[in-house]
Amino acid sequence: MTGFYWIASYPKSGNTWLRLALRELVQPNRRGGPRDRVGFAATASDRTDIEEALDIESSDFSRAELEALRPAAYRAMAAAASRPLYRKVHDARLDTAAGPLFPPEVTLGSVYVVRDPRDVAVSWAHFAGMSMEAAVAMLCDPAAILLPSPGRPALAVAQRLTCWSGHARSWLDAPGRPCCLVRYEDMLADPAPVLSRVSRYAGIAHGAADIQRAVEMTRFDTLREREIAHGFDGGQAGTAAFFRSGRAGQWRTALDPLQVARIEAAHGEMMARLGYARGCPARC
Amino acid sequence: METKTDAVRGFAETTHKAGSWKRQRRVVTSPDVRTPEWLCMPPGFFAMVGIIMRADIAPAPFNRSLCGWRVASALPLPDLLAWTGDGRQPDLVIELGPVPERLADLAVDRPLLQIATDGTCRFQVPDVASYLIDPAGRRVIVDPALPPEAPDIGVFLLSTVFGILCYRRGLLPLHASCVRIGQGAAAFAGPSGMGKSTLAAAFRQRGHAVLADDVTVLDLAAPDGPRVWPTFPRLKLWRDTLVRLNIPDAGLERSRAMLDKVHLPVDDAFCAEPLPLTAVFHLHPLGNEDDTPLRRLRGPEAVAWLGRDVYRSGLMARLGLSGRLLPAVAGGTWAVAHGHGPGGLDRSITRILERLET
Repeated sequence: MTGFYWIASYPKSGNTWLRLALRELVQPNRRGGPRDRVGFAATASDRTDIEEALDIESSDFSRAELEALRPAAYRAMAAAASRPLYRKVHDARLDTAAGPLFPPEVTLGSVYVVRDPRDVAVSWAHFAGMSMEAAVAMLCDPAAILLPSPGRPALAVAQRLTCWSGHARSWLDAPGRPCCLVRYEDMLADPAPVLSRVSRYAGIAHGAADIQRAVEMTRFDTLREREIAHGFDGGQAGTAAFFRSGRAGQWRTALDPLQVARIEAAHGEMMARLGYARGCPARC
Repeated sequence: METKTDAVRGFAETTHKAGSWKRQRRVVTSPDVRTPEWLCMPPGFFAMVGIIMRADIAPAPFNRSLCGWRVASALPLPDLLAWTGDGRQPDLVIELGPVPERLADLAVDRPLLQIATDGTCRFQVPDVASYLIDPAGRRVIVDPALPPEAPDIGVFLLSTVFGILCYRRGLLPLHASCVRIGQGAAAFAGPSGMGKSTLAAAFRQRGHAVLADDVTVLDLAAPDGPRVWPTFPRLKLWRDTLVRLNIPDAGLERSRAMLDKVHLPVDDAFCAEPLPLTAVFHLHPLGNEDDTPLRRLRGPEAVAWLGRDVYRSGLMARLGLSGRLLPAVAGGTWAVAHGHGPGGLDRSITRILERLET
């Protein structure tokens, strides 16, 4: 019997990047190849995992039924495991009809990766092949649900996101062990201390040299080159690049002032809490 | 809690092994739940005495066909063909009756599945039904939480419970749909959401008869090589798939009231005879356009892919079985990079047919 470390984030906030870096610590000899996927901390919404834990065919269940069964699935996975389990999560940390989606009794810890929501909107628009307007609307929609994209296999179950700040609040204010908060922008500016802090929190053994090596292996340019050479299936739409820009602040040119204002009006409080300054004068 | 009932009633049921009777332990300990009568009866008992007249076990008046089995069922199971074979005793009896909350002597205790040390299984879908499956895979008692005629009850009977029955009867279920191509059966295997049923529906549109949807049952002990047993003449498809394939959806029954998934009858294009398995195509998502579209699998790699696509492999392990045997398939086993974008379906079909026709 053990439990989970949830590596959680709103989509397009650096979750994949962090997991790639952690993989370098956990499995230092593993190399990417064609269609390299992360290979560490598979998604908690993976249909096959949930089906195996519950002995079911997930497509025979409604969204609400499946959601209510997921806590039992995680308990069963934890009961069968002999070492800590790591899972990527995009779900908000909500209650289901059968209690918390991520049961506290099998939660060892949560790493929450957060990114400026204005940049998230830009990144999501590219990733999902949608307009900036639609991406901004999604970030502001308290009923947003992440579903498999059209034209992609439906290998994950539906994930309730809520809005951007609702998502952050659900993880940051969850009872139990306080989560390990990681800002994408900090990871970008100086990844080594961030990676070291996450690894300590999540019980991943490491030395300074390991951290340095993991940082080198997952520099954005390196990941980008690897994607160009081998491809990287991160679930992006069509032929879009997964590792696209790796920069902060793109929203300043990619979003129009009304879109910025909409995000700031909806999420200003959480942005301030997380250290993201408004870019739009209060009047706009 | 053990009771003296054990000794009094004997509990003779039932591992059906070469005509011998193997004594089994009882499976029910809760004092307020009566042990199902069939747990005390040898197979064939119902045929000998006719209709069971117990108040808590409903008779099984419907005669259906599944994998060549004669199924006597208390549920109508309209998806299954009517039995038109000989007058044999039922191979499988499905009854309505009480199912205990807990089995005794649990060997496996999962969220929805319990397995007792004697092999009896209990599977429950909350708010739908509980299912009690005898160790030999010859009897199922269904305890519905919905009206017995609700299609939901059959949906789960024909998925997880069906998988258990296959394993108990020595058959290997693959997570695959299956169609006739030439004189043999080709299986399209893959995890949920990969497009197995859609691929089968598209093959049907091109004139290929369907043998199975989602669960393809292999008899690996057939004398002439692995053989596929047909299941039932319907495909379960999301409504948007029907639109994509230009299949009219008027009048089609939802698989469950809350799902936008319908049952598409394929009576006109169903192969009711078992066929030799000629090829297995393991579907995986097309990542990049330069992925090898169709790749022959050999040796350990082929075994690994088969392991991925055994139906509910965790369930198989929980039943104490392991599937490391790779069936010798004349047409080979293949990994198919299956695209879900425009033209992806047609490309996969063309490549599969090319492989089987050369």
